[in-house]
Amino acid sequence: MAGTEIGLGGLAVLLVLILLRVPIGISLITVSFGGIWVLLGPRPAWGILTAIPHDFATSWALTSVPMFLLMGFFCYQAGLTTGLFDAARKWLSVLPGGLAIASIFGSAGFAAVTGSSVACAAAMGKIAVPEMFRYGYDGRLATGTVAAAGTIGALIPPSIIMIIYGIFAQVPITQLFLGGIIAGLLTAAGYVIVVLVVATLRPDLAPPVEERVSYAERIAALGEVWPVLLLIAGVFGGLFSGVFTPTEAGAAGALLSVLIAALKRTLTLTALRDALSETARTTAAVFIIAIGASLLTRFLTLSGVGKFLSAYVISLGADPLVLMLGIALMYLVLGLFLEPIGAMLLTIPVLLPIMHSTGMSLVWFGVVVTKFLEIGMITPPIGLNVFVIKGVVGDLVTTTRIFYGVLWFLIADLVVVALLMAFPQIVLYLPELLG
Amino acid sequence: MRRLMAWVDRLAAGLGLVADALVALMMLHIAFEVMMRYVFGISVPGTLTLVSKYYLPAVVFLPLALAERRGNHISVEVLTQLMPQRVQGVLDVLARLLAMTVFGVLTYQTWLDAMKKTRTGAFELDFGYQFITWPSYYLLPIGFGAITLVLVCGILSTLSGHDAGTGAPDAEAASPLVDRRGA
Repeated sequence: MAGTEIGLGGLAVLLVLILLRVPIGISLITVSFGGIWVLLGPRPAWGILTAIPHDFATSWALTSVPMFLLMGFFCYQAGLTTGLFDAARKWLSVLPGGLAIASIFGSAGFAAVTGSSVACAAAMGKIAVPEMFRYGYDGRLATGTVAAAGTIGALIPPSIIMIIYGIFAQVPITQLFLGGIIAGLLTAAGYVIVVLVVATLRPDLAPPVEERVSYAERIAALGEVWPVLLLIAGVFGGLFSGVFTPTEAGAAGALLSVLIAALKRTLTLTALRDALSETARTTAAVFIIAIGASLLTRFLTLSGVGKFLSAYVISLGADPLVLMLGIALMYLVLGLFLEPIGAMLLTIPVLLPIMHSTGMSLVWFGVVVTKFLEIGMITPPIGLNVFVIKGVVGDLVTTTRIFYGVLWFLIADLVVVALLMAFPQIVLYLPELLG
Repeated sequence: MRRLMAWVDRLAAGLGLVADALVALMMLHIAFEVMMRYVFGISVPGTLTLVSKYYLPAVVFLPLALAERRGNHISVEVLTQLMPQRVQGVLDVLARLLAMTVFGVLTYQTWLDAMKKTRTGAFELDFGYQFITWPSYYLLPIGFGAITLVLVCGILSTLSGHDAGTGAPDAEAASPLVDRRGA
């Protein structure tokens, strides 16, 4: 019992440190080291503190993180995805809210080359928001659409969140990626319906676009989409057919995007350097937290808190649905003040033993958690995607109005979450078919 | 003080550049290996060892200091924002002191570990070849040491009044892509 008390005390200290603005990685390392010391004495504590950073940062599976980051950052820096929105608008601008729908399609396409929803929102925000303003779209609708559509970035593979989840949960990353495809497409469909409904009920918010686009132009616009299609075919064709490991797929994708940029003559030294630098710093910032989470996992196992909590949850006789609702609520609260990777790394060491004991599919759980975390990206007060869009639009739209615009899309998100929970087969269909 | 800060900045930037180069090299090396294997049916021994034991830890630990300077490390500001300026300032220094201590301890411990691995000559087997891995253990104390220095300098300049703004987002960090990571 003493062990679980130390473990629970450690979790309380962790929470206090994080709320006092101690960097998340440092909080995790401090509490885990101190906790193991109190539990087992100085020797094991020093031993674990010395061994884990090296062991963690030299694992082959994790090399896919910098490679997929690089591919996404580079596609963004070299503007490989600008053709996506253009093609989508030429085909879709006749629909009510056509430009907003085109930006959702563009985001879904960009999501297939980036693992990050922030990058996705930034890229589409820069291209699509000015266009929507040009045609007199309402500020809330224009910004809310791209902020929400950005969250598709982490659902449709590649997904940095899913890679890291997969490593901690020991679930194949390919299976998570496959599960994310339908969840991502479902989210995109939900957002499209929201735009259609809003634009039909309130045509003043999304005035029809008066431009004639010939079929020749439409076909020509599709020609600009080839870089993305080529990347998707190369990277995911290789990954899902089992030819590539995730790391190899990421490296091949990054190199392919450099080659495509060279062919398109958009390859610049600055783009390359910025993408490399962003990749390196992001990797460092993510890994220091992941190392902390790995230490915390060790501490919680040693203290028996993992077992204690799962026994507790089971003793409540909680039905899986109630448990999932509790977890959803917890992520909503965490999403209020934490960015997704931090929130996930903080909670996974505690939640995984519980999920193991309930026997639910860990692939399904990973996809659902990703969806929860992404909803946190667009809910106030800390909605990173909203801040990114705010950075793009400057003084034209207030942050409050962007959050207001996002509200419409949150309704769609609630429906998608309900579907994923009620019918786990939605997520598991592809992994079971192809895995 | 200012000269020390400038020197530490150069160190952080230099380590960052090495990491950038290794990201590129990692990509090329993996892609090269894949090509050799599928096109020519030749395995390149040592790729796995080199990528996971050298490139990856270098890319993880060397940019730590630069990430600190650019404000890339993630913390939660929602509660402290509501506190008075003075309290915020004190908490900020305390948080950085804790970070400095933790990274300082890690520097020392991983340095001892690296020397131990040097003495025992740590290696990995890959396709029957022996690849030495002990030099890679030095990447940790280098990266941890550099971020410790950045934190020491930052705390000193905050306390002495000329705030160099360690961890404060600079122009680049304020750009959305650099600001919050991979989310």
